[in-house]
Formats: sequence, C-alpha cells, structure tokens
Amino acid sequence: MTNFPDDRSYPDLVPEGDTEAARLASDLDSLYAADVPDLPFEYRPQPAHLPSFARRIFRRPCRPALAVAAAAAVLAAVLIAPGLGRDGTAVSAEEILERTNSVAATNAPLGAAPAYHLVAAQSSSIATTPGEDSITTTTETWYADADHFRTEYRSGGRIELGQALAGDDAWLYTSGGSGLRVAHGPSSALGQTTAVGSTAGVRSLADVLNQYGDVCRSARLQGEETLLDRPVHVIVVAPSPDSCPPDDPKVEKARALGEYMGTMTVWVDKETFLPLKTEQHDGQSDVVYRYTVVEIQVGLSIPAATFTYEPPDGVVVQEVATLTEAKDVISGVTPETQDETCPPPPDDASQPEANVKDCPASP
Amino acid sequence: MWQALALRAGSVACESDEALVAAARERSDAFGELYERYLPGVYRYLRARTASGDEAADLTQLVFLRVLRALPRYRAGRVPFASWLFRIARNAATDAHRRRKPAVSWDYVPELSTPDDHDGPEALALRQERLTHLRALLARLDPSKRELLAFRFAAGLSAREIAPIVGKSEAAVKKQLTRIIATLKEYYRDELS
Repeated sequence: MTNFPDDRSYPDLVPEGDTEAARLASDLDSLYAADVPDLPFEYRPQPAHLPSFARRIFRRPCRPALAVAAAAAVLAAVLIAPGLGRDGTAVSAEEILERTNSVAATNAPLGAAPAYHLVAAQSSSIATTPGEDSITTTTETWYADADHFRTEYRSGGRIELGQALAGDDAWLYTSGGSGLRVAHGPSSALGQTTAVGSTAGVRSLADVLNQYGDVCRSARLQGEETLLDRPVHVIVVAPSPDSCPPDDPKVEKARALGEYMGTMTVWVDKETFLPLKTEQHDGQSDVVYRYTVVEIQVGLSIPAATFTYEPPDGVVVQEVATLTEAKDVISGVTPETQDETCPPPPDDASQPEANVKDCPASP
Repeated sequence: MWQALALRAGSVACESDEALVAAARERSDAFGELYERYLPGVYRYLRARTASGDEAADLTQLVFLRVLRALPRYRAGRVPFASWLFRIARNAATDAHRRRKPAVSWDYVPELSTPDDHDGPEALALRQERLTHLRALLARLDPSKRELLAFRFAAGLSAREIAPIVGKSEAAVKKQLTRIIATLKEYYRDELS
C-alpha cells in the first residue's frame, strides 16, 4: 500500500477546523483501505489457458453449503474456460459458474430419487449489467441412479456443458464457440462433478425442512399445491437472525443478512423431493431468480444408451485420467495446441505484462 | 480511498475516463488503463461487501469482465463512467450476497486491519482501538448509510458519482454523507470518552 501524508482532508464532508470529524474521516479512510492484491486482468477472446481467477476458483471449493453444491461448483469451474459460453468468451463461462452453482445450491435433489427425466428453466433478473435482460437457461436431466445419469446445461440452444455417467465411465462435453469438445475418463474422477444424484438421505418433509433451514434461517411449510399435476410442498425459507444462539458468532452476520435477504420459496415434489420450482425474492419481494421445472416424468425406464455419450462423426473424444485434464480438454488446452506466446499467468501475478492480453486462438 | 484517488488522479491527468472508454472499444490496452485506474476502488468496495479477500478478488475479476463485455453499451454523458462501473460492481456484490449462505459478512462493514505504524506502538494501539470502535459503530448504521460510506471511502467516489448509483441527487448524497459523519462523530466521541 502506498503511504499518504497525514494532512488528509475532506472538504466536502468535514467542516474546516473540525478536528474530530477530520480524525473520524481519516479513520474511516483507514478502515476501508484494504490492501489491494495483485490482480492481473486477463481477457482473451479465445485464450489458450484458464484465466487466473478460474484457476483460483478451481483450487478451492466454492461454497460447500451442500455437498451437491460443492460438487456442482467443481463442475461449473470446469466451465470457466474460454470459448464455452454464449458468445464464446471467458465472460460467459464465468456466468455459467454463477448460474450452475446457484442452481445446484438451490435445486439439487435432496434424496435418492426414483428414475426421472426433467427439463427446467432458470431465469435471473439479477442483471449482470444495468439494463441487461435477465438470463434464461435450461437444464435437461435423465437420472436412473447415482451411477447412471446425464445432464445438459443449455443456453441459447447450445450445450454449454453436458455430463454423462454410466457406471465407471464418464463424459464431459461442451459445444462452445470453438466447436464440440469431449473428454472421457473414469467416473471416479469425472463423476464427482455432478449436480444430480445426491445421496443425502431425505425421506420426509421434516428432512426437507431441516435441509433448507439452519440456525439462522428458518424453513417452514406454507402449504400444498399441485405443479405439473404433481402434489408439492410449498416451503418458505426466510432469514431468522433472532433464532440464532445468542453466543453464536454468526448472529451479527445473520442480522445483517436479515436486512438484505428476501425469502426463498421452494415447491418440493412430494414423491421425489425434487424442487419443481424455486423463487428467490429480494428485500422488496421482487422475484430475482426463478427455477421452474417445465417437464418431468418419474419412474420411467430410461434406455441405457442415454447415459453413454456418443459423439457425432468427426469429433475426437479425448481420454483423460483426471478432472484437471478434462478441464483442459473442454477448454481447448492440450499440450499439442498450447500457444507458447501466451503462457499461463504466473501464480505470483507480479508481471505487469500480465494485464489485458489478446492472445491468438489455439489452433 | 487515497490510493484509489491517487491512481485515478494520476491517470485522469493523462486521459479522461470517456476517452479511455472510447479507446477501449478499439484497443484492449486502453481497457487495461481503466482497469488499473479503478482496480483499487472496486476491490476495496467489494472487500467491504464480502467475507474474504479471495471472494473480493474473484468478484473484482468478474466485475471487470462484465464491464468489458458491457462497454459497447455504455453511453458517455448520461452518467459518469465511475458510476456506471460501480453500478455493475454493486449488482455483482448484491448478487453474490444473496447467493452466499449461510455465512454472510457484515455487508459494507470492512474487516479490521492493522493500521500503518507511523507513530509508534502506543499511538498504533490507540488508533487500533478507535478503528475497532468505529467498525462496531458502522455495524449499527442503517445499511443504506453504510453503503454510502463504502462508496465514498472504499471506492473513493465523489457525491456526484455516487448519486446515479443510488438514485439520488448529488446534493442529497452530499447532505446524507455529512449527516452520517456528524452522527458517527457523536457516537465516536461517546464511545471513546
């Protein structure tokens, strides 16, 4: 941090000669003056390497509030790769991380479900930029059991990420701006990335409420409805900082949360405990995020071939042993195609030239 | 804030935000200048709204990616570029705040850090105590007031730049900030006396 002289003044805020106010302003200044880390900004329309923020996210679990959410975060991190998004840039891949993580955190099945097939739409009016339209994406999932499922995450008619798992085999694939990329490997490595098939045991309404609530957040049954001809529990999850244990260090944080967070309403299928609809409200009761299952079949027999990915003619399936390798494959990074003029950013990120770059695309 | 202002002041002397925005639409290195100019302010603002430095760093990257993507839609003259940028930062932080569960930071209340040791250990200890009190006072403030302080002191924005972000007039923002300072000063005096 740069040191600055002590004769700081705030003529717009502090009356001349008011030493107390001046000291207060100076202290506020100190309080908010967090050390700024070296953050090289990289933007490459078709880069050959993951950006640094993606690598950081990939190294650590995102928000493992739910085991499924954490797994999905890893899955989403796979997506933080260039050329996979709606417009073929790292930007949209980053958006995928957010959306996938959010979807997984709030919509993951809570228990061992019977075989099902569902199509869901997500929309978020938490605009990425002022005036931007809400984001709408769809997810299609075929689920037989924890070892056999397939899910595809689509945006703009394109598969932003697909995952298929059939016993010991797993595939990750994407059809980004640079064409279809497919990685195949052991499910022990690639299968850990799924957002479906949670084994968390939820067998009753009480389990559901317990799953959504926590010490500073309450979940209550508001009623029952029917969605898609299926009976559902309507559950309202609301911040409840007053219920926090008084000596819990989270109390104050939860109080802050209560000032900001709106409620979340979840419509949970009575049979499968799958969320069929989720609405997140902001503090003004506006719906800022909505997940809606638009089609669902439960208890159906899904052909085994559904869970085995068959690439179209001409598409090479890259064999991988680890999730990291899979990540490289679907982001277009291979040892053969790596562009030496665009090395990966250094971990210490101290090189000034690591700022905005515009590297050529990988072959 | 001083660091942010210093960076901005130095850069503004070279090219205005609007000129850099226009250039950034053609050349990526011009966006790099905007990035360097606003990185400290954006990071500090987001740091005041996140639970960890890592999260603030990730959000900072995300904000600039969104800014870069949205740059063609920015219309100079409607609002200052800084206001437009921090509206994106604000949206990103609010978004992250909503999704973060169950652990949420004190929104707009910065983490306590050790102040620079200019005046020896005794003065440092006193200053540290004051900052501890001040942080507790901030937590008692209405979030909208804390937000104004974060924009002013963490982001280094002027009242004119804050106004379009929060949807108020410049005069109203200035008045409110002055009142907040006055209120805090009273609390501050009581706490420390």
